Amino acid sequence: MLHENYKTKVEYGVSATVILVGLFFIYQASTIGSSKEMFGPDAMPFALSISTVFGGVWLAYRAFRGKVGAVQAGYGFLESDLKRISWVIGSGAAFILTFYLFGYFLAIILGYTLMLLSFGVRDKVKILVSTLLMAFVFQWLFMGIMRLNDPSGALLDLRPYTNIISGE
Amino acid sequence: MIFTDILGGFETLLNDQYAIWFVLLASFVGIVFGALPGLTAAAAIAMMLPILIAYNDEIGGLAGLAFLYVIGKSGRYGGSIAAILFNTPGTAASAATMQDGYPMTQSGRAGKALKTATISSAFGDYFGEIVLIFGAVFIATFTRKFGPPENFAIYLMAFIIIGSVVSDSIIKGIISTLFGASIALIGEDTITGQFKMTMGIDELESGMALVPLLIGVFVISEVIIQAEKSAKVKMIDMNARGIDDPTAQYFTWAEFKRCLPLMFRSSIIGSLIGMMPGLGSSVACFVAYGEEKRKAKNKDKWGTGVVEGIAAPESANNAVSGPSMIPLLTLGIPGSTIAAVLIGMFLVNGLQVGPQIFATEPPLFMGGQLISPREFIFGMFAAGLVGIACYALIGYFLAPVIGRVISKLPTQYLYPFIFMISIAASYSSRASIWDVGFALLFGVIGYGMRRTNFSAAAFIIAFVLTASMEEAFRQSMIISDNGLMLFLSFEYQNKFSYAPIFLIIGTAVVVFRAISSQRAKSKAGS
Repeated sequence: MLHENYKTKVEYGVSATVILVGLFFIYQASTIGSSKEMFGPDAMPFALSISTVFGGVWLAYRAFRGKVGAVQAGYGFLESDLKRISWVIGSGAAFILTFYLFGYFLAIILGYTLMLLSFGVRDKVKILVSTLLMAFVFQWLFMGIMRLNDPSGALLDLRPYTNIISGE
Repeated sequence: MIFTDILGGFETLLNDQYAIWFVLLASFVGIVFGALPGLTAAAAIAMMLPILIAYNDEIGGLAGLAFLYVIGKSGRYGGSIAAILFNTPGTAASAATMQDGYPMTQSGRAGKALKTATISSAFGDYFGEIVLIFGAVFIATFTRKFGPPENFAIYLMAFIIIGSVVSDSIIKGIISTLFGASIALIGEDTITGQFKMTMGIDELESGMALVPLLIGVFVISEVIIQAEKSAKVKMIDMNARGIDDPTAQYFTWAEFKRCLPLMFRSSIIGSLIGMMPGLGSSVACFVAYGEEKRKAKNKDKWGTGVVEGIAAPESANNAVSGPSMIPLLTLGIPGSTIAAVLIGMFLVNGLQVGPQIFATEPPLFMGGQLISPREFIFGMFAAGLVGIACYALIGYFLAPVIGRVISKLPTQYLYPFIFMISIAASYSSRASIWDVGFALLFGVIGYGMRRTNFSAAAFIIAFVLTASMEEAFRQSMIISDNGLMLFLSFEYQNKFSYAPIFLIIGTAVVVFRAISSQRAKSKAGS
């Protein structure tokens, strides 16, 4: 019963999210310019977003009637570890910020270091060695072999040095 | 004719200097990814796709496509290694294999379990591939005549069917589809050239790229789950002592003969399920397992470690692989996530998926040879047939070793490495840092979807399909005198229209699914 109550609460949250997403897309669809056609570029976006809102309302109605069913393994956020999730997302966000400010090479170093920390690695030597190895391999593979765009950092341009690794 | 085409396919494959090596590599990579708990063939494909696209001109189109196609097959098989050795299905398709596979490992017969899985997977896969080759060519001759109204009706039917069958909850499956479709509409309108729903972000004017989405919902969401678990793969001793059975590590000829009818029946089940868009290996393995257990004389022993309990789900889940391509190649509808990703690879090579892919004109220049689309597609079929043999050989001889290596991999380094590869792959798809941000965003969304029973597969398939669906809809409206009634009419432009039939089929599937779901709930309640 306790679990069913929990699932009902989660389902209310889910339905609210779905309705908000639907409303967001309705707003976005309303920004599309009109056309002479009866079914122009905004027809499909409106149809889909309105259906999404209806879907959300249906989910809420189902939760209201208590017809959410039993909680299955892996359902819900009871087992979620917010700290770990934040670490992973934070590592990605740090990668993006570092990439913008200091370039790809340092972004790889910081991103991988944070990911190792989020997976519980604490041995400093192992972190240092594996991170440097990773940064060199990625710089060589993606910027050297695949020749991706390697932009300068907004604060620091390390490309005179990292180009040696990329072979440019 | 078709046998000549198959031989021609082998010729195309062998004449391509890279393709055969990529098939071999894909067989191995797929097994490893499939065997890594939590990672799937779709995750492997998401990470490899930008690299293959970047090198498409150098390696030739067939090599890249064959690589992705074979990874889909070997990845499905690889999942059985994790199911048997670690009691964790490497992929959802192997969940049923665990029920008899792991008890066999516990009783010191891991070798027998792995070899049974290998042989039955290869059997099912060959069966499915034959169904694909003959089925797709036959159906394509019929579907080639379809116009925009039928195409739109087919897309709508696929949306409804995929949405309603792919998830435990019909409504959540359909919402997943709607969400994927809404995201796909962001960007430039194909007919008027207007920018739609870009939220003022310039980078979205060219739309959302597939790779960051795939990486987000399949890889980053999985990394988040692994970070939460901090789980280590645990494998028990495969060579347990005290077993007085000289055949404990072999799948004997007598067992093979006993399992052959069962493998055949399960392959038929898998092939039929594979042809239905959205119904994948995970459904096939449980249906085949349940059906064979019901028929078995020794049904009380199922679940304690019988070879039949491995042969049935493994034949069925691999038999899905080939037929799941039939909707893609005949109607342009991807039946699975892997098929959805393959569309991207076809497009990169200038091929529009659908029945016209079996045409003999116009020729394409690929891998140093001038070939027709039909020769190209039969080259892919040949790659599939060779790939099955490759993964079967690798699996038969090396599966225990692969399992042992995976059990020793330091997961605290492995998943961060996979995360960084994913980030790099997201960036490399369009060399845009925004795509890394989108991958992270969809990683969180994918995590939320997993935790609340929404379907990532339906989301991705809808994302891939929507542009074509909208185009078919708008083209239909241009030729229609009756507005939306065109889709309910059996005639347009003085020819017969199949559009209402497809809409009826879609509606019938939803109604049937809703009734069976209601009955199952009532049964569970009582």
